[in-house]
Amino acid sequence: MRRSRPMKTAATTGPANGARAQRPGGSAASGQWWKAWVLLTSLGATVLGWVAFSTGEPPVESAVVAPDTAPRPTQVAPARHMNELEQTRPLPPSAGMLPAMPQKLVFQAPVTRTRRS
Amino acid sequence: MTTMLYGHHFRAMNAGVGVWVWSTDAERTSMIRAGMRWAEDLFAGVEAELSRFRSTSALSRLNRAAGHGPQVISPMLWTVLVAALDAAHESGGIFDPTVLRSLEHAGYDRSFDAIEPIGPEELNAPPAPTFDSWRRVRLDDATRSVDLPGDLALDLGGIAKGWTVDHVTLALAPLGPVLVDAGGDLRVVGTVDGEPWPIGVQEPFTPERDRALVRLRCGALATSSIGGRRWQRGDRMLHHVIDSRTGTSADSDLYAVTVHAPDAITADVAAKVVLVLGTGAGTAYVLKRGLSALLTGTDGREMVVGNFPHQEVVPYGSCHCA
Repeated sequence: MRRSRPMKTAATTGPANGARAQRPGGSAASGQWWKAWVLLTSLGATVLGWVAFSTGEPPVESAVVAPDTAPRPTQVAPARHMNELEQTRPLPPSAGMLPAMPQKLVFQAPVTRTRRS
Repeated sequence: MTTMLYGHHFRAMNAGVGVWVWSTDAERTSMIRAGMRWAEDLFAGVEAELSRFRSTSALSRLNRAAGHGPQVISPMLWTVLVAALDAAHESGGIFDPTVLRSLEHAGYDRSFDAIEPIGPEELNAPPAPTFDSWRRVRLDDATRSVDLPGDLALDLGGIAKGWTVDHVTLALAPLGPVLVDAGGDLRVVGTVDGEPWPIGVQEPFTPERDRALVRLRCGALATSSIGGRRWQRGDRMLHHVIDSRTGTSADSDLYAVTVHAPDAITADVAAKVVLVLGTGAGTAYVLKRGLSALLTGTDGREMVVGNFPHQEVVPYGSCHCA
């Protein structure tokens, strides 16, 4: 609903001016130009309004995954970042690095396992 | 700000070792890499010093000198030996660093990879219990010397691994949240935004699977099992977990034990002790010390003791974990 409000305002502004038919010396082309101007103005107002009313939404990359949505053992996908780490080895001078990790750490699989010894 | 995971894998102490460090400071890259190289060097150094399979190790030299009076030993051997004797005292002698002769008598006299799966038909002599023998090991703080009786020999394998895990974890912790895993004995310090480290717990009877997921925010995990290192002698299936009270492989109702403890040494010792004691006394041991554990019986039943930080214990044989 908020997104349509600027469009309504712009649409009612044009006819209220009443300048299109009464303007002296105005050609048909200039009348078309005026219509285009009103249309573009309306469109711009719509876009600006949409952006303004949309700023409250979090950007995708900062979304937080709740801990309880973490995968269960039967659901875990292969440890993507760990696999990548293994595939990129050996990295000089023996330590691997993953610059593409998300800012918020959410493990997708066990890092390692405790096993019989 | 970019969060980066640094990982390093190598082999030491007859096990795969992994070291992970999280950092949000790119300028720490060289420091972290240097820290990981140091960690690998330390593992190698501890193995060279404390392995019973290396004739040149300080431990082997001490064992050869048993019965020959006090021997001055290295600071590292001293530190780990003191920790082992403390653990023996604390566990009432169930954890026993002097079981090496029993272990060798049972057939574990070389690196496990070299043990023949089927040995002599009969053991050539009855096993000799070593219960409470640890009390006969004499330490002299002033000279850092040890007097080891001639009939005893030390094995510090598990506890040396735990000590190294603790040492490396604490040393790397200033660089960021860290996880160190040495063949299943592992410890974490720190989390990223409170996100715990997910650790799989190996399915005892089907080792390629995980049967539980532990979400570890702090502390250590260690697993001990009779299923991994086992071999046959005559009509008996033996394994490497020796009950010092009998001098031979433990024969309790437990097949595998995973313990959560504040540090890796405590976890490693507790896992072995509980495996020897069995469900009843083992549960009491865990609860009395404020630890927690996941027990697996020889019949496959599961028991969670204390506040074990598992997300889910998966019924035996019901899941695969990649």
